[in-house]
Parts: sequence; C-alpha cells; structure tokens
Amino acid sequence: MPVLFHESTLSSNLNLRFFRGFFFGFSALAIGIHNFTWMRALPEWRWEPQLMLQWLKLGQRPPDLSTLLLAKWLFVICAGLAALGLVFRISSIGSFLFGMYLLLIFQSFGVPGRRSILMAFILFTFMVLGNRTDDWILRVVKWIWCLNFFDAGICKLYYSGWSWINGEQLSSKILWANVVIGDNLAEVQDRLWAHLILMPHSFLTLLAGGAMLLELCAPLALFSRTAALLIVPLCASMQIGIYIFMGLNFILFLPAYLVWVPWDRLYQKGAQLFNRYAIKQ
Amino acid sequence: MNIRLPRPHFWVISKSDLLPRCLILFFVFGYVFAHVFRGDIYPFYQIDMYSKPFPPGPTPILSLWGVDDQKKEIHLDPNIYHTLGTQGLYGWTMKLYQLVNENKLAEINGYLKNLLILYNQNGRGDPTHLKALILKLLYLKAHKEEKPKIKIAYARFISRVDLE
Repeated sequence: MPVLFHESTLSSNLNLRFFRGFFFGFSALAIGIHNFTWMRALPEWRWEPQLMLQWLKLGQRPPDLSTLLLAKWLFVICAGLAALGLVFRISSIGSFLFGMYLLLIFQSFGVPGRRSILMAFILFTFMVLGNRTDDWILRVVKWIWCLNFFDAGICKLYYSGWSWINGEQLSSKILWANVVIGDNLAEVQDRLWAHLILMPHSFLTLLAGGAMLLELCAPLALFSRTAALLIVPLCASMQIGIYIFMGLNFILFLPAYLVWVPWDRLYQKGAQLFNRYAIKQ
Repeated sequence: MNIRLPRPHFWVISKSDLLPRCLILFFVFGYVFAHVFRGDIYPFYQIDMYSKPFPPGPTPILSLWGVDDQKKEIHLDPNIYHTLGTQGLYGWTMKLYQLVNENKLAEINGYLKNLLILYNQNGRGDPTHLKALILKLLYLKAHKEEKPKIKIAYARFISRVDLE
C-alpha cells in the first residue's frame, strides 16, 4: 500500500511544538502591531509603577518612546526565534525579559492585567522549563489557564460574596464597562449592551451565576477530559460574550486556549485522511 | 520467574518532576493567595474592579474608591486619581446611582459639583462628556426599573443641577 504521508513521523512532543509555535508567534504579532504612542498621550499622574519595576529601580518615571520601541522590537525578534524553535534557550529568556518589561509598563499605566498575567506566567514557564521535551510545559500551562479563571471566581467571592450573582450587579458592571469605553453617548440606548441590561432580572442573575460557577469549576478541567471538553468551550463563549457586551478584549487568551487542542491526534487524523485520499487517486 | 515491581506511589516525585511541580505551586500562590488576598505584596499587581460589589450591596469597599459611605461625601483629595487611577470614577458614579435611587437631590447636587471639580483638576477632559455619561446612566437605570419616582428625580436632576 503506497503511503505518501508517514504517520510514523509523528513525534511524541508534537503538541508542545505546535503550542510553542502558536504562542510565541502570536505574542510576537500582538506586540509587534501594537502602537505604543497612546502612552505618550497619558498624563504623568497615571503612572503607578508596579512593585517589580520599583524593585528594579525602573519606576521613577515613565519610559520614553524610544525605550519602549527598543524593548518591543527586541521582544518581537526573541519571540519570533522562539516560535521557530531557534536558539530556544536564549530566545525564551529574552522573550520573558522584554515581554515582562512591556507588560509591567502596561500595568503601571492602569491597563487591566488578567490577560497580561496569563501571558507573563506562560513566558516564565517557557523560560524555566524551556529545554524539556516531555509534557510538563503543557501541563503547567493548563494549570495557569485554570488558575486564571479560578482566581477570577475567588476574587468575586472574596470581595462581593454570593451577592455578586445578583442580576443587578451584572447589569451595573455592564453599564460601568460601557460607560468607560463608549464614546458616542448620544446613541447609547441603541447599543447591544443596553438591550441586555433591560432583560429580566432573573435572566441576568442566571448569567452571573453561570459565569461564577464556571470560573470556580475551571480546575476540574485538569482532572477530567469530559470536564475539559465542557469547561474550555464554555469559558471561550463567556469571554466572547464579555467582549460583545462589555468591550473587554481577551485576545491574549487565544494562544492559551490552544494548549487544550490535541494536535497529535489532529495530525494523525489528517495524515490518515490524506493517505486515504491519495490512495483513491 | 517474573517479578513484578510495585508501582511507585503517586506522591513519590522524581528529581526531574520537582521543578515543574514547584512552578505550579508558585503559580497557585501567585494567583490565589498573593493576588486575591494580598495584592499589595504581589509584584504584578492589579485591582480586579469587576469583582467588587456595587451599592446597595456590601459597601465598606466604597471607602477605597474615594467615597465615605457614612458621611455620604467624597474625599476631595487631589491625589486620589494618582492612587486609584481611573477606577476612582467607578465609585463616584455608583454612589451617584445610589443617591438617585434614594431621591436625595440636594446631596446629588453637591456630590456632582465636587465630582466635577475633581474631574477638572485632574485634566480628565470635557466635563460635558461626564455630564452626558451620568445622565444617560441614570436614565437607563430609571427606564429599567420603571420607577416613576426615579424618572421624576431624573427630570428634576436635569433642571436643577448646574453643571457649568
């Protein structure tokens, strides 16, 4: 039987290589196309240096644009090399250092940070475990993914208690998010989110309760494949919903979702289909 | 003769597994302990504002947002923006929300004026933008709850509060 596409070429760490390529490639692209000029427009009183910058004595004043651009392009080069698996030990260390610097600058200007923390932790994992070819990197990234959602649930419980699931709370938060982000206030009532907050109170309570339950149950995805099949798509839908109704963008989560994709099985299936098709021809 | 060796117990950690396990512990600490409970010691700090309650829920957190819940007034500390950033506005808007619900027009007047003073002091932009923002917020609230009293308060609010 002629086999054009050898399934035996499947290596044991294909999942890791795919994830590594996507993660670093995406990070290089996301930071590479980011325009840092918005920081120059911010007043200096917005500058609240993160503790880590203070420890490194880099927090006295905001960095100038040329420093930011230098850090940005150094990150893009390092992440690009890491995506291709070239000089990975050095490129992963460089990616973490320059990436962390840029993320800390974002945070110090008050840009919300859950997405940045996820990215920083994954960069750190690659830097520390960079040489490993077993599945530990993927396992640690899955832990980070789950902890990120679990932490959001715990935060809600700690600060608000179960009252957070009251529909009134959710509608207030949707209002708050849009009031800050929206600029054309004259047309506010025609917007999608305005229709959502006018929905019945019980529906909003159900939404809020579902979100909190999902966040608190996220770690179950680590221990059960069935739970992961349910929790991961639901978390993705929740974040898409948050983007639509609250304008909060979770695009930096995208590469982290890819850690759940069984690339080796997809590769195997693809190879089988390809071979079957080729034989018929 | 086949001798079957006992399977190592799950808690026996090989040397090569030690580092990733420590890393997971570090992240658990980072997320759940340092970030949630002791944000001030965590080097990568953020305030998770969407986790905070709004009035009329539990309100002690309002003092953090620059609002004295007992005295029903805001702290006119010019540094408040510096310490709280954009999130200061959150508490003020929601406090106003509560005052409208309680139909306390006199307090709304004073509160809003103080808010505008602070808003201008910190160069936050055009105060008419803030005015439009707050009015629409209140209107939506009144419309949603279908409370005639609030609708009346809203109408009075527009006519009485001098924002210029």
